[in-house]
This record gives sequence, C-alpha cells and structure tokens, in this order.
Amino acid sequence: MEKKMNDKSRSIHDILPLDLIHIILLRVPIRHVARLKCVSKLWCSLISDPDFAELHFCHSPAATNACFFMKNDTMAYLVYLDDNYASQKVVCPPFKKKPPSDFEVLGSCRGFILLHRYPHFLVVWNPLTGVSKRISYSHIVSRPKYHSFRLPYSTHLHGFRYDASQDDYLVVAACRDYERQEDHLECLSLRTNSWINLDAVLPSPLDWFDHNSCGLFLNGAIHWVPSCPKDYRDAILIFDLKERTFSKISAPEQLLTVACPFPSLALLGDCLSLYGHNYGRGTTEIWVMKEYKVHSSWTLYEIPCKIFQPLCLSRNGDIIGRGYDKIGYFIYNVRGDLLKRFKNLPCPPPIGYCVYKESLAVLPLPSGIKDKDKKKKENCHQVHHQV
Amino acid sequence: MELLCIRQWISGLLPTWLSAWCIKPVGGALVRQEPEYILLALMGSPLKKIMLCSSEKEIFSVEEQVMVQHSVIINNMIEDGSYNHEESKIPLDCVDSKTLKKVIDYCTHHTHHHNDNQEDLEAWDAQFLNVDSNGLYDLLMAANYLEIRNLLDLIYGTIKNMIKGKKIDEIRRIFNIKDHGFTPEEEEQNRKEYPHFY
Repeated sequence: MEKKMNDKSRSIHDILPLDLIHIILLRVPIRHVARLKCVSKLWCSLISDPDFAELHFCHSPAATNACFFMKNDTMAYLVYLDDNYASQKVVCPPFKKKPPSDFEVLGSCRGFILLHRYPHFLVVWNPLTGVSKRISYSHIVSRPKYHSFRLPYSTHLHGFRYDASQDDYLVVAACRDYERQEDHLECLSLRTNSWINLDAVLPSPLDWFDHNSCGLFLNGAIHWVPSCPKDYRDAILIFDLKERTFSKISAPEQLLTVACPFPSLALLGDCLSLYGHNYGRGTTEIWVMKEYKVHSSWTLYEIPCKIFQPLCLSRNGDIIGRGYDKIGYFIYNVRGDLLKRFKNLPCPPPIGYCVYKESLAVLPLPSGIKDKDKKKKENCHQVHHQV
Repeated sequence: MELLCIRQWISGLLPTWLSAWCIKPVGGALVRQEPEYILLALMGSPLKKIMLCSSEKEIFSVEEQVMVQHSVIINNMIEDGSYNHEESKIPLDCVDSKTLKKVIDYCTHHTHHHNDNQEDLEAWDAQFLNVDSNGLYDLLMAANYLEIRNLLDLIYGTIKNMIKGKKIDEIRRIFNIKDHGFTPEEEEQNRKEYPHFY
C-alpha cells in the first residue's frame, strides 16, 4: 500500500478500497440511500446493483415501518412510526399525466405497494425508487355493463407476496363474475409476466369479503378474513402459495361471539392478529396468534381506545396504531397503557392504507424486457394467461 | 494511568500497606478485577506483552490480552501458535505508526474501562474520532484489516452520520469527490429530476 499523505486533493475513492465503500453504503439507512446514486458514478453503480438491494434489505437494521395511504390521485403519504419519533413524507403516485380516478391501496410487500385501479388494473409501485408496473386482470373479471353500478361488497380478493426461491413477486387475484355467477382465481408471476388459472382450488362458495381486501402474507400463505365470518372455527381463509390449496383456521371464539362481528387482520411482529371493536366496553380487542395455527395460543390484548387500528409493532414490541375517536397515532404496550401519542400527522381513512417497509428492491425482469431503475412510468405490459 | 488502576482496584480489597507495596511497575495494569490478576500483581508476575510493527518499522508493545480481546486477526495468530512471544513481532505493513498508536489506544481504553457507564464511553469515543477525514479512513482500513468489530461499527456509524440527510453537493465536499464520473448530460439530468437532492 502506498504511503498515505494528508493530501487534501485525494477523495474517498482514492483512499478507501471498493469493498469498504460498499459496506459504508450498505450501512446507510434505506431512506437516505436512494439519493446517494447521484453523488458519483461509482456510488451509483454500487447501489444500482440488484445484489445491493438484497443485501441491504437482509442485513441492515430493520427499516422503520410506515403507514402508506393516498390523499388523492396525485399525492400519497408515508408516515414513519417508531418508538420515539414519527415523521411524514409526501410521494407522488406513478400515474400518467391525466390521473385516472378511483385508486385503492391494497397492500405492500418488500418495499412495493400494490394499488388497485378501477376497473381491472393492479399497479405495483416502489415509492422509494419510483419503479412501477401496471397489470391488467381484465381476463378474469368481465366488465360491468354500467360504470356507475358497483356492488357494495364484492369478492375481490388480492394477495401480494415475494417468493425468495424464485426471486419473483406473485400477485393473486380472486373475483366474482356476476354475469355468470362464477368465482375465478388467478396468480400472476411478475418474473414470467404470465397468469396461472387456479379456479379448481377455490373453495366454493366464496364468502363475502370487504371490497378489494388484500390478504396478509405470513409463513408462505396469504390470509384473509371475510367481512362477516359466520363461524369462528373457519373464520380465516388461507391460501398456501406453494401447495396451491385453500384451508381455514379458527379465530378466537370470544372475538366473534361476544364483541366484534367485523374483525380485521393485522400483522404484529411475526404473528397473525385479529382485532375488532368492542363497542359495549369501548375498547379494541386485539387477539394475537402467538404460535401459528395453534388455536390455544390466541392471546388477548385490550386497548382502551374505542376505535383503534393496530398497524405494527415498534422495536420495543409495543403496539403502534391509528386512533379514530381520538385522532392521531398511538403507541400502547401490551397491558393497554398508553406510551406515546403522535399528533399533527396526516391520518389515513379507515380503509385504504397499508403498512410499508422501504427497500430498494427491483422488480424481476421478464426475459427480454429492460427494467429502468429511474422515476419512469412503465407502459401496460402485455399479459397473457393460460387457460 | 496504569498504576492508578491498580491502586483503585486493590485498595478496596486489601489493607493499605499491601496496596502501597503493590504500586510499582509490575509489567502492566490489571486487566480484570478477578482475584487471580490481583494475585499476579502481588507476586510481581508480568502480564504478557506482544510486539506490533507498523509499516514504518516502529515497534509498539502492548498487552496481549488487550489486542486478543479486540482484534480477531491477532487473536487467531496467538491461538494457532504462529506468534512466538520471545522473538516475534507482528508486522502490520498496512498500518502506519500514527494509526497503529490510535488503534492501540482504542483497544487499551476499552479493555480497561469496559465497566464504565455508557455515556462516558461514548464521550471518549467521540473525542477519539475527532480526526480529519484522512485519519478516519486510515483508522477504518486498520480496523478492517485487524478485524476490530466494535471500532469498525463506531467508524461506520460516524461516516453514516456524515452522509445522512446531507445534500449531494455537501456530500461531495465532505468526501472530497471532485470528479463524480457523470457526463455533463447525466449530471444535468440528475439535477433536473431530483432538484431537492442538491
């Protein structure tokens, strides 16, 4: 190694070897990394490498959870929440010049947000890098005859997950064809850009689900809960993506019979949770399934807040959520004690938000198509399905 | 400083005349507060030292215990027997004298003061890293070469804080990046697309 002199004209590139610069960039929190691509060509090539995104996502300290929701068609909010601080960021959704109406937030997976656009489009978008992709599922659902006619409840189910073994993102869409009174289920692989029909495995009949409900992904399966489950024993619908089978697991009996006929799912830490509002007691009941698929492991946490929607767990294991009767974001510990309240932050509507964790992940490239990692909007890809 | 340590630790445990007798150069400070180390000091047995040789051929003598605790590389060398205490010195051709001295300071301080409260340690670390950029890079490379985990974490953390939240032009100034490598067109394109970054 050459002798180092305190030469003011030497830059970090001249002194530090590439692997150390790489590690420095890996250690910068995800939120600050994207802009570093503009610092120098070297940093740009290091950060744009697909392996970098993977390494950063796996090895860096966990990115802060954020609550994502759309304010209107041209503006969306990311509200970052942690034990001690909360902050917000405005992002612009990737819609073309004339923003179309009627977008809904469905869910998120590894830094990508899944949006639904009427009548039959799904949009996958990474707000950090700006990459987006629009997918049509018109072949699954027939167009409604009258555009103004919308059923209040439809069986539109969605799921969005990342398959590490294939480095692929899978989008699952199930819906009802009202003309023919049929249910359809299809699964799209973003890598191969093709849909697979899975009608045969759909349980029949399909329950009513909240409009455009997006399932929670956990342990290789997507989970949904119907808007009004009849029996606690098969309250939660599960679709195992590997086995391609549906099954049901039971919810805590007390949740459905005593208090809350309309439960919702949430992912708290690594545990599936069901929550509902006990209007009689003025509390929100959160049941957490501590051991997956073990009915006896459902544990109740009662939050003394009439309408509280849990979002995620903080680093300390406390419950962060959104209040509606008392506006703002709250952190409660598992005993129901209020630890912190964040006011003066934009709050999402009751539905149409999701919990989001940033990443620089790129979409898998269908062979032959170049994916640009800049803030460009992509055209609608040709989608071909297998009958 | 080393003698003060002995006095501190022993005085609480032994009668004054004994602790007075122990305060003489006995080959280094006590590393831990365990009884066997106090006994060693009483018996006058020197603690093992190793020799580190910088790229400028300057020899530094440091307690084996201190370096073994912090540096994975040195620990491995001692454990696999490739270091002979009587004769060898460990050549560190990648590290110059100034940086090596600082690294030894860091390891020694953290070994002797590992029981201090967190705030004091952090304050000392902050003072320790109050160097210019070149000094920081030299420390980073030395810590990387010697595989000193906690010093690496400290330096990476400092550099990360130098980057976080700064505008692009500022980052280039801090890291002395005069030639960013973009063509004028690319640079202009970036500035147009992300004006708030600059």
